[in-house]
Amino acid sequence: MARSVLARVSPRAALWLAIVTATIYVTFPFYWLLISSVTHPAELFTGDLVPSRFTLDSYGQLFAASPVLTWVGNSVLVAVAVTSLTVVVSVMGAYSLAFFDTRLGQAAGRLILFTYMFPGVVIVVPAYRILSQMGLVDSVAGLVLVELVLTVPFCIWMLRSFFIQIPKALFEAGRVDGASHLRVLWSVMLPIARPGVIVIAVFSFIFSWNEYLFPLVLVNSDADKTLPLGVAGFMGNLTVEWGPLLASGVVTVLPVLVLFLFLQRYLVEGLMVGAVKG
Amino acid sequence: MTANAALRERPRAAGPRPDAGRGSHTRRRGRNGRRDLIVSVALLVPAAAVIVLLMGVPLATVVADSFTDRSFLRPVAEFVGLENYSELLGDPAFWQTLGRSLLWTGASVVLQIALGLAFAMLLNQRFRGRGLLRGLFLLPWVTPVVVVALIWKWMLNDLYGVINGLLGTVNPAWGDLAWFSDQSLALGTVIGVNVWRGVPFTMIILLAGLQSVPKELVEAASVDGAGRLRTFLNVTLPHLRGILLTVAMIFTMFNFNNFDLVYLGTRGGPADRTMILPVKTYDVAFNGLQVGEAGAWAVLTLITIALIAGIYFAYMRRAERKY
Repeated sequence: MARSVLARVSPRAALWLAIVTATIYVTFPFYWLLISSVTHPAELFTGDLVPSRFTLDSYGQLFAASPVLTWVGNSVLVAVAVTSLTVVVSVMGAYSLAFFDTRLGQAAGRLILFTYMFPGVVIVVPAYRILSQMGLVDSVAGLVLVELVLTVPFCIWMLRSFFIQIPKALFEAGRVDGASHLRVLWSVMLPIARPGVIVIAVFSFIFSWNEYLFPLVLVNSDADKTLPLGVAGFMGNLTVEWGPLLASGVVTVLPVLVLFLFLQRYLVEGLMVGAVKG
Repeated sequence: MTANAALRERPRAAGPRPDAGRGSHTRRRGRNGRRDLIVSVALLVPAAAVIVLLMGVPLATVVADSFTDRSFLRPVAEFVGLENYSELLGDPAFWQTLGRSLLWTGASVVLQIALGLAFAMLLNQRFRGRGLLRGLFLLPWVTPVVVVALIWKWMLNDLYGVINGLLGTVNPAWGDLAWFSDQSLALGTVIGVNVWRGVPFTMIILLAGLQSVPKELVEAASVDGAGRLRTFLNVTLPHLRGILLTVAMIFTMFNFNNFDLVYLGTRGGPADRTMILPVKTYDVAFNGLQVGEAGAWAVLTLITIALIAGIYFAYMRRAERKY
């Protein structure tokens, strides 16, 4: 009621009120995580929206008392490996799905959509059994291998929607000129679809950086944990205090936030292209 | 070899006749067509390997396990037929978990889409800083779920939570609410957090949909004297129909299959009040160590989601025929 009165009096003010409310809803939790992680312990539990005393003690405690740096290293290793493999596999697959109009390609496209239906737990219980028989539990290689299943279907689908926007004539012209498929893909298609490649690379990095269930099941030893797994371990550990715990949250989220904000133009467009064309 | 092939094919393709392109294409189909087929299949091999080895094999394994009494405690397993299934289907706890999963999924999807649509309409307006907000609003979706759970557990802590603090100034009793561990609040709380996390994604897809609504249609409606609400209901919404259905389907699957948010938020507790199928499957496998029984939970989860997807597809096909 109040809103509709406001909307009649000043539509512009109503719009800004809605924008501010929505922005607080989305961003306040991030502000609060960040600010709490640098709030002096004496003020941490007072709930003041802007604390007056700041300190990096929580970070000091975090790095001194736990193998966070090792976990960062593991996370980077896993995410980089998953990303590289995903990009190669997806570029090949998406090129095939986009430019060859074979029935097989269409069936494969449908299969990829179908894979979205799969709950991770359905994969991870048998995956644990299989990997432990192969001796790949507690190893980066095993984790990377299994995580491909999270990234590849989504990335092929997304990249395909970039490829199909390229006029087919370009593809055929390259072929008629006698260039091999590899050549056409490398020097004609990839440069045009570069934003798409960036999009899938960033998404697979983010997906594997964030993943929790697979490391939870496939990694047992502290030395092989990824960052989310380590932080989750803190959360269940009553001896860990809020300060270092919140600091570990910041360390985990910061890389994705930075990456995302730098490349957000590509990513937003990528998602929107995928939404309309896919 | 490539150069040779080029030399051989060039004269045919470069003929001056107006139908040269098409003619050469048809003629090339015999040999080049087969080579294209081979290349296209070869390029799909790695992706197919990922899907077959990482989905097909686990799926077959989980189905096979579900007919056994396999356990992490024993090296051998015996075939027990449908025993795991008959036990589950006769257990009220299974039906409760299924019902809770559907409630969790339905409530999450409806709220994510409603709020996502509202945000999309907001960001479809013209104002300064719109581009920045569009990116900013996606942040919850790219944030690791572990951190999402951590942030909200901190903000909603019954002793120190900032939101509890603010609520406490309104009504002292509200300040003490234990959002994640109170039996009557926990499910609502995790749904709320799930909505916060999912809204960015529904928003961006619906925004793409909104921007594809032809401006002329909206303008024509307003020239014809339709109010904003009528324009929205009669022009915008029907145009978004297809995208809304797709988003609803994708998010039904995302939410139904969700494990990490609920597990990190509540572990399915308190007293199973947030126990949904994927969390239960994990629990049976890795806390109960009953691989066979977990297999039956997993298969029944898959069957349920397949049924839901089937209903969606049937509905979409009918809707397509009608419009």
